[in-house]
Amino acid sequence: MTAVARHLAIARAIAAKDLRAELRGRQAVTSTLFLAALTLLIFGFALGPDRASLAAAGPGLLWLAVILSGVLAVGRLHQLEMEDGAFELLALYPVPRAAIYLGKALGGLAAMLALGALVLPLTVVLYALDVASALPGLVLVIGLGALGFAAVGTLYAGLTVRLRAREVLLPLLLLPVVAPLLLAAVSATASLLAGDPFGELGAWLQLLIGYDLAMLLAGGLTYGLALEE
Amino acid sequence: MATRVLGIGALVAVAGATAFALVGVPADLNQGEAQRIMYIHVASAWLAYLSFGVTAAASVWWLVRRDPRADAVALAGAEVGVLFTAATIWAGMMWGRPVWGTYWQWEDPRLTTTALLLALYVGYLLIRRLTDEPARRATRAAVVGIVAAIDIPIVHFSVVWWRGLHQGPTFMSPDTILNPPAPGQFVAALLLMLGAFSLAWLWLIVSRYRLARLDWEAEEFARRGRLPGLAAAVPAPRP
Amino acid sequence: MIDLAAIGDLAFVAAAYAVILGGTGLYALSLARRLRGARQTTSTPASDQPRPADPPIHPRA
Repeated sequence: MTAVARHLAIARAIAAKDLRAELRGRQAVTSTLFLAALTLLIFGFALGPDRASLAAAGPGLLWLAVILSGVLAVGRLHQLEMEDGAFELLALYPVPRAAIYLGKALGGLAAMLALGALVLPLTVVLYALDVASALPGLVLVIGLGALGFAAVGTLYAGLTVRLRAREVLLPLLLLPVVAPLLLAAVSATASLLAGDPFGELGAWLQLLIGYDLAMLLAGGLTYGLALEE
Repeated sequence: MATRVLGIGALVAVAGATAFALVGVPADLNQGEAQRIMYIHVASAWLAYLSFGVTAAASVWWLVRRDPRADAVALAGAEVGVLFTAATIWAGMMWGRPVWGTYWQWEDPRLTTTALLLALYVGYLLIRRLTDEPARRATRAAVVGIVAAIDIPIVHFSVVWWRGLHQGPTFMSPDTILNPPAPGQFVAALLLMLGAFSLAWLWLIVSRYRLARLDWEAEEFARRGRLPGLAAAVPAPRP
Repeated sequence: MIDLAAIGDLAFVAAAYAVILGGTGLYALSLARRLRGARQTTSTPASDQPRPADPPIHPRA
């Protein structure tokens, strides 16, 4: 088995374990889905009821809901494992650290995609966004945003999981770092919905891809350090 | 000691540069007296980013060599960096209010990037504070420091592109304010302030580094009842 | 009119310089004080107190 294939096999096994645990009722991510929906609702109360201004704020609210719930999701993916004592075992396995990172990040990606899949139709309904023509582009932007967030979120979640103050520390560390991701994703989303009047979409997509690659590289190289005791 | 000379030199230089900026240089034709803030704003910004680079480089040094001196440098850079970053933002706000009419401008890339820089630094210091064991603290902080360093250029580009698409009026735009047509005296005042602040920065970094080394030694002594083997960087106390 | 505006602006200039230089000065003073304290702690032999006993052999060491 080549090294790459081995990495992928290990990563897939770890991600599959997380998925199975989730389906068996671990509730790491599923509760954050409800939170995302709730966030969208109370955004409406905070910023409404003028439909025009809500529609204008739509892209921003979409990504805020995804990211705020996402912080919790990536945190819980590590935290619950820690509470079960499984995280320490994971760190002890004699497998390449990058493979473990990849597996956890895949789980994070799945969580973020689930959040995106939920939040998108909800914003259409709640904020009257017209997404029909832009749907394929939106799926791409959500995918890229989910990947970047999962990449750095998984790293920071692993870094902070052993700290008692992790519930505060994780958002405090994560939100500044994902600010450019948020900016690019919201700008790309808004641009798609408006039909890309300024031709800016390409630049934002490039930024998203660059961000994703940079964070995946950083995570792959340093996650092992977060695991070590 | 050399540091004492440096400290006194820095004090004198800062006093001189400030005097020149406040009374030596004439006021700007367009912005009036408020333009004088530019000197301290730009100087602070320069040193904030320099500190940031120091922390990032020292973080890599720690991860590669596990040298406690590296961690001390990283900490010094971060703490001094927070100071200058806060100064940059404060000066930016004091400059913005008379010139733009508002304390904050979302279209000013330097202001928004520096605000994020502050948030990143504070996170760095916080994760240090919440980790007891020195080596693990250094490693955790180093990861955060490096990710933050990767992030900042991305932030810069994203904010510059963001601004580029929503062009404000060019007369009082952030561009003309940050890069004004520069009569010789203005440039001289800026360079003087930059030089003076750099001396002060150096003194602060060296002092904070020394303090960090002494704290590390004290910590290791308390933990193990003896000094660690890498005490060669700092002279051991006389028995 | 112009005089008033200039005075108003000077207030911002003063606020900018005073807070930054003052804050930096306070930080510098705090560093100097902490350095003096830390140096005393690590270099002063505790001659009026018994030397600490050798630490027990640590199983991990």
